[in-house]
Amino acid sequence: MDLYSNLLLGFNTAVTPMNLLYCFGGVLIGTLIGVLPGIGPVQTLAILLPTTYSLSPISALIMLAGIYYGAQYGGSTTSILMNLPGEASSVVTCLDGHQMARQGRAGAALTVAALGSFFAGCVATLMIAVLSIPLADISLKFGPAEYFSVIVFGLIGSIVLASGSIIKAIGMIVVGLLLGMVGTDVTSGAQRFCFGVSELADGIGFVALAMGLFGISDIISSLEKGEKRDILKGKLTGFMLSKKEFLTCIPATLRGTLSGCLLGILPGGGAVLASFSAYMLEKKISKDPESFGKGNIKGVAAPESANNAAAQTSFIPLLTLGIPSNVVLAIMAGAMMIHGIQPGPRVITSNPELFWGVIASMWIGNLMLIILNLPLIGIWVRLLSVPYRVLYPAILVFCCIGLYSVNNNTFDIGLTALLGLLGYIFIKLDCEPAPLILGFVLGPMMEENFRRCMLLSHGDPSVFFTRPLSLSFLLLSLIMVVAAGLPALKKKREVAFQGDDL
Amino acid sequence: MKFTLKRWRFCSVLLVLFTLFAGQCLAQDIKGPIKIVVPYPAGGGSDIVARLCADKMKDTLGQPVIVENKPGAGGRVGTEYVKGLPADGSAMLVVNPALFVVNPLVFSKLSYDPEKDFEPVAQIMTYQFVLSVPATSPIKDIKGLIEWLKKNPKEANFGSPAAGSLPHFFGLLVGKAAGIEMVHASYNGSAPLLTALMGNQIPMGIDTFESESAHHPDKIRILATSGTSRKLPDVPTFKEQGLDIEGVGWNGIVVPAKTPKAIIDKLSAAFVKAIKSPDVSEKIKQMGSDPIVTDSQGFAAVIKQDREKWTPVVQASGFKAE
Repeated sequence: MDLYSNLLLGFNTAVTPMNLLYCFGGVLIGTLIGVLPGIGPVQTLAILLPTTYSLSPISALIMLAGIYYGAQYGGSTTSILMNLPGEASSVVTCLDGHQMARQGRAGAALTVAALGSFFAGCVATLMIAVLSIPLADISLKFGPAEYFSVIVFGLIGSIVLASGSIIKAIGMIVVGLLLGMVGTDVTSGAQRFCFGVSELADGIGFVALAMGLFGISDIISSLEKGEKRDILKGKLTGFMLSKKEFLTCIPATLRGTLSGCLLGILPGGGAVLASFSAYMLEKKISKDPESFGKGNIKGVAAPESANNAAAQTSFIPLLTLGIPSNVVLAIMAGAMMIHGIQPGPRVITSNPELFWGVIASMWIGNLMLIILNLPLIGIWVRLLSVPYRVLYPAILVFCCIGLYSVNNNTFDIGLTALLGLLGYIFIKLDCEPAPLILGFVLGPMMEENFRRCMLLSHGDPSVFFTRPLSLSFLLLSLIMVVAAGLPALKKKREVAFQGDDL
Repeated sequence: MKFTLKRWRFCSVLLVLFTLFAGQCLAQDIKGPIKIVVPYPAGGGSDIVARLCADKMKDTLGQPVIVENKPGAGGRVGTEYVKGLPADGSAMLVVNPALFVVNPLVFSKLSYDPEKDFEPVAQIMTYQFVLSVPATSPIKDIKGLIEWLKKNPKEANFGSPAAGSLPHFFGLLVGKAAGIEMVHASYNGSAPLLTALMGNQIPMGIDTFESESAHHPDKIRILATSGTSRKLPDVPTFKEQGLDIEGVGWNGIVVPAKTPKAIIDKLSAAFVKAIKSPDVSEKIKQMGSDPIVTDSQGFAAVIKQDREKWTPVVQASGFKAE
């Protein structure tokens, strides 16, 4: 069988002692930088890029890939323990994960995140091996009209499924859209809301926004609460899952993995869409949606497996089409070019051992990650018992280092301080920042694709309805709106969504 | 023989004199580690070339040469940053036509002046632009493209990696030379443009050769390249196909203004040597660019020539960045 011989070639390449070592080094570095708030895979890959010059291209890519998915693993740790999402896709993990930590269940949350990620990683790796070429072709079917419709679907979904005050949810999305407007307009190249500050020309940095709204504002409001301000509210319980929890997590992980695998191949916001939609799906089909946002374990399992699966499948466009779908993969593409390999459709035929070797190493790397991470959970959880007066200055220092390293610029640190203040105001007003993040990430994408689509159709809006994929997403959005308006469902919604989360 | 106190004194006086003398000799030299500032994120074309050069130059110059990425605002943040650094050769900047030719024309308040704030050191590479269509497209050459566009004026759209980029303006040149009104759709970088081309979402795209070469001819078809000579043996240039247009993009090195001439010459020579070394040349070619290197005067001439070339195009487009 072809696949079999290909995988064999891959494993033969990946299990040489040298490559195993680089794989381990990669996932270890990845886990560590994932755990440090703010220092993400982008900066690490940029720093380590020159050190890979002397390696063989395969070892170099195996290590860099390891850092990338290792960081996805580690990233959930800070989201759960400190409410500090390092990147857009782990924002959702904060919602229930951090609540679990406050209830003394940080260990269980971390275990679920690790197991879910491992499972998702394995499935996604297998999927890359079997389906990468047809899947890459599907992603090409997504033109501007399709992107626009998917994003409309995503935004409407998040409003319809929003809890508590729907007005507040819409308000937060709109604030997110407005913040997303800052920067250079892709379509016209014009500077919007930059006020002559060059640093704002690329828009507000995502890391700055997420840290300000989640991490920094959380610290401010914790300090306000006076003496008893340790993160841990309840008693610290073990990190083993009960049998019941384990069983409820299995279907959630499966669904999360599926959304991650599918949405991850979309260039652009794949991982973000994946984790948000996995969370929304869980909440929608759950029998007790009001428990989401208060430490529901499924609210950790689903998005965590989704973002890990998406991290892996986002390699598909790079390896098969030569298209990096995010900044990290763009650096990987650069690393390939340094070694004289042009990323693109010909990699599979011209460098099969590289293609299959990297895929095989992903599975091995996932295995290493779970072995590495499960024993570490106990250590991370103990961090919570550190007194807050010691912990928060440390968090702030790490945040500043991370923020500086994004662009080697101090501007982002000042911006984060301001956004932290904004986040504190939101906490006082009882507004959840998660919908804002969604609007911030998806809004500019929606605008860009809408305008491009209208330009290409020379101003004819019917293009959104004549393309089948686009039409189906718009119809689905309509169904959601109608369904939300139906009296029977409306009643259920009111009962269901009294929580105060997404 | 015993080392007496006197002898020690003598030795230390010698040592001090020697150090002073050495310091005098080094006065024309560059102090401390030299940094090449890349105003873009790590991993891009200009970053890779800068890193390749830095690796060679540390041997030529005998001191550490490091690459610092200072991304932001399409390169303006890094440019502004180097403008304020000491003019002693310890800081250099990688620039391109967008920063040095286009920006002064489209920004009414630009935070730097390419002519007053910087001195050219060397041009280190050039890259051609290409016009490509999806591999499934019926269009085979520029003549066919023009016929097709005249028959389908509603489809006369071209994509570029960014609004206000050289490929954008080159596309306007193509439209002008062909006598066709084309709608420009800008993408958020080369990757999304390529996706759109491969998926047949847009009839044609204009980008650098570096970004598109790997996909030719499996997913896209390159119809023409923008240089004076062919980049690919089987793809004719625009000129060969009857459109009298040509143009290339480049990367070059500049230092803050008032850097001493001797230091500029020294750095310039080091760059020329680095780019001319066979392994660096080979890597630049593998990336799809051309290792064409000039000294400081040559680079100054290139900048001047490109200003004259692009100013009318940019002004005619009416494009403004604010």
